[in-house]
Amino acid sequence: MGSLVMNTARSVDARLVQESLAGNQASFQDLVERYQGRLFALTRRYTKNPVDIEDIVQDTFLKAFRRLDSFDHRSSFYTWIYRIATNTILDVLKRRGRSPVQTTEDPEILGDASVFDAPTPSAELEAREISEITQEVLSHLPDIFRCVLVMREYDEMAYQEIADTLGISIGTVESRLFRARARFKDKLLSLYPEYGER
Amino acid sequence: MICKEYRALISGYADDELSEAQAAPLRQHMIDCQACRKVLAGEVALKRWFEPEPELLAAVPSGFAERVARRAFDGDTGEALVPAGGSDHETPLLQFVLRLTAAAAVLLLVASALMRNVGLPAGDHLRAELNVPTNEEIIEQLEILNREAAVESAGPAEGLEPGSRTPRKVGP
Repeated sequence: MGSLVMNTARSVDARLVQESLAGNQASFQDLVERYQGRLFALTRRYTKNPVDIEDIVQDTFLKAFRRLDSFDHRSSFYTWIYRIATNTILDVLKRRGRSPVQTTEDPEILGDASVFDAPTPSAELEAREISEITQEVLSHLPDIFRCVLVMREYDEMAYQEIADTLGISIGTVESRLFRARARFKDKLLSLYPEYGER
Repeated sequence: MICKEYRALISGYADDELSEAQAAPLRQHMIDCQACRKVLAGEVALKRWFEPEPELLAAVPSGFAERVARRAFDGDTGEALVPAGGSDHETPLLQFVLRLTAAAAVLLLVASALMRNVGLPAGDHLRAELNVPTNEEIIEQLEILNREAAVESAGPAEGLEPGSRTPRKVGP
């Protein structure tokens, strides 16, 4: 059933891409409408500025339109545009002086860190509160770690997809995820120590 | 396999990234190993912080898709949309003014640094412009005063009342 839905979605995407390439503006608008919500959600993981978010998502779709003829349908349209969005986001963050995605790992951060005894959100916390705390903690992480956490935890991307999107090996994905989770836990406990008391 | 090696697999297990050949022995190990079960529980607990907020998906500005499609078909490539600077939207004019201001500030700094040195002593010797007597002139003046004092201590000078002139004490 799930694969049927996926195949239907893929065929709809394929048709909209073809029609867009043929010059049908309404079809491209449909394509934008299908994925704009997910891209807005994705971009919000990286910046809270609504103007920036809209600019980045718009930029992503315009770049996608310009390269639409290079979309080969081997991956899903979302995977393809997700990669464009991620690169656009990281490019903007880098140009604005945020911690860039480095090609080398940070050797000092690992230590004995692990997610051992990781704190959990209390039952009373609303989904919105959990999300706000998580966003706050994520905003303190270097992009190199935030990126893999967002891809894995929010977008549920497989290690291979993350590796393909970022142009790194699966081993590096595993290593970064491990470090990212340890960093997340440490920052969570330093910002919200009450979650470490239980 | 030892416990440490199993631990390295736990993240992948929690992410459902292990093959069955890797997962089966790990599951077997965790039946007996409380510490590894605890690590897995920690991994699972951390994931609860990442549960999606449903309304995030709905928050898209109205008319967004239409605007983007129109711009795409108008030939907008999107490359110039994302500002490169630190502020939100720097126009070319603003960028020009900012650069001009920066250049003026640098010039001002250089000029003020140069002006600070004008009129100040240079080198190792002080160069004062005031009319100060030389050491020889001071010594000569002191000798005159001492002579006058010696004369006065010997007896009142001609034409002067006693005590009308107090010799000045000069020198240490």
